[in-house]
Amino acid sequence: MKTHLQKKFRLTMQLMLSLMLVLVFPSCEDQLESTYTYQTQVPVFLQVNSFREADIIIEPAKPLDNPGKIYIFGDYLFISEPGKGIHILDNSNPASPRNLNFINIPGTGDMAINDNILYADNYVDLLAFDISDPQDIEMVKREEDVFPNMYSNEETGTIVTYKDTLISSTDPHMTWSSWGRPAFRSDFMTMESAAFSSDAGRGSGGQSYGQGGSMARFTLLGGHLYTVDDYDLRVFSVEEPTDPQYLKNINLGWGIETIFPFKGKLFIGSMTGMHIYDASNPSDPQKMAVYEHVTSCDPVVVNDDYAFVTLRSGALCRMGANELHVLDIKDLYNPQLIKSYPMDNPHGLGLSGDYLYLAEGEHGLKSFNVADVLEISDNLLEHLRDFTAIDIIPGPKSLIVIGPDGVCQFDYSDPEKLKKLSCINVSFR
Amino acid sequence: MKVIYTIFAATLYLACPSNSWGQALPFTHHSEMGVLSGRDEFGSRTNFTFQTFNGFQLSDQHAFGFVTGLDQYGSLSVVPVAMGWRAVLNPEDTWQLYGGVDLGFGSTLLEPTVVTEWNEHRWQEGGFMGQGSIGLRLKTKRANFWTLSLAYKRQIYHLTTGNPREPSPDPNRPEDWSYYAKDKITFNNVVYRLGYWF
Repeated sequence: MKTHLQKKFRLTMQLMLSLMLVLVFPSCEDQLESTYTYQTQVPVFLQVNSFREADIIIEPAKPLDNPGKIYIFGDYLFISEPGKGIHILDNSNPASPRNLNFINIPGTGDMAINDNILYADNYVDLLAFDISDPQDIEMVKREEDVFPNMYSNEETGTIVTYKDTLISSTDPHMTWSSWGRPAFRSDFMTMESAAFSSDAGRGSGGQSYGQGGSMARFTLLGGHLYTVDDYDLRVFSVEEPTDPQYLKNINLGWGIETIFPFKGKLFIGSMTGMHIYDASNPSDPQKMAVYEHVTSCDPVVVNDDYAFVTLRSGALCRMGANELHVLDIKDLYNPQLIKSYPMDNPHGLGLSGDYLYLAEGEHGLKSFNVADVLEISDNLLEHLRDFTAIDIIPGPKSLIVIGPDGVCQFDYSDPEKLKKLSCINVSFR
Repeated sequence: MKVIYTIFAATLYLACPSNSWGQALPFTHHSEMGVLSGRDEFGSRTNFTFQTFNGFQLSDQHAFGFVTGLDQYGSLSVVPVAMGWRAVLNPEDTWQLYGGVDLGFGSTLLEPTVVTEWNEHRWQEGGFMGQGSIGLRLKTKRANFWTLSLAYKRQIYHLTTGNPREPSPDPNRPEDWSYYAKDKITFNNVVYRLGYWF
């Protein structure tokens, strides 16, 4: 019996050992695969002739895809689709706006309307359209080379634009991203240094495509068109509306974002603060003051006595705080911060009498009574949360709120109680 | 999570006498502790493992059940959740040869999502777990067993790091992140275990 068992045991052990040989010796290494996905802007080079020679085509109505800026003109709404063109909507009944047509303008960023003339940028050029009959739009002027910072080579007429692109790269090694990845072994200090040296040796092929194109921002005041881009304020005379003339360029520093005209003054929001320019001589605006604050993104609205500036944090807004600043601007040469209020993620704002409407990004829309600027946070009237709001225009018929999901209009005849009239949703997202 | 639920539900279903064999099957339990040994590009690693098999004796030779436990890869804890099968070649002997197969999922439920002070988000996901083992089982006086086994275990694991671009980014949409890197790591282990079976 014993011999039988021993024999069997020996057999088993032999089997085990041979299996161990099979299993242990080729014991393969852990497999590592790193996928690094990043969104970058790939440069696209374009000859100016290619878009100057192509006709600007008025197309039938298109669904909204990525609404950008919005402009009200009479009973019409103009909604820009950055880089692509401008949608025109009949808004005579804000409860049911009607999509009329689409002006196909490649490389457009912003627009302004003056006396039946629509101004829009087309890469480096400024275009003027006669829109007196929105059913029959006609291009009346192309002012060339007025936004020259898009040129990569002005002599050859090459401009560069940047296209958002998602790129994925896979590496059969672990990326050494940062600290904090669990070490899969107790001797992880050696592993960290080993990984660091191996990664350094490999030289992760980071590509640098630079920062994206600038979107011009337009406003009209005193027969002049003002545009801001990242660094500059440009002045155009539009005293003859169909024939805009480029006058001059004023350097403003960096991170210029928005421009708001009020009573002969230009309030320019930048990433570092608010610039105030006196445009009483419209062709030659003069700097009055700069209000500096922490670096963040900030649109501005003003009334006679106060300026309301929102600061928000965001990927492109550097450090960023989420605040509403109220400035006393009775002395325009010396704006004073009166009070700041914490907010969620404020973007654009709109002022209508004593009521301030604030787009809180993904946190919706807030309305405040700002009759007492020291008690704004106690005078929150409504907070509508069910949509994303980026910018607001208190229009003559309705309060228009724009966001990535579409354009909504509210009846604000009772400013304390907004009533939703309509929403035009983007075609897909 | 769905995988874990399915495995658990299937085991419970099989365990319920009315659904399976008309009468409750004898319960069987096998707990083991040991070392996972493997190699990565920086050298060899040795990690701790513990697992427990709870199931039903389908016959003298076969058992089927639910496997869970803990694999500690350095500071990373993976909890296997799997269906397991055990077969004994010679149940009548004192020294018995047995084999097993476990198939399922390794979960990182013990690993929280971390957000650093630099707003780097870091989260971990488990993945496929498969294991084949062979071992010896020694019958004790009280009809329990000591076991000694050797196994090959494959475990897939994902680590994602990202810096959000949006206020509330979707972890599965790289567009929402300004930095987004995903590491897929497949652990190939040879496992040596000591265990107790009843």
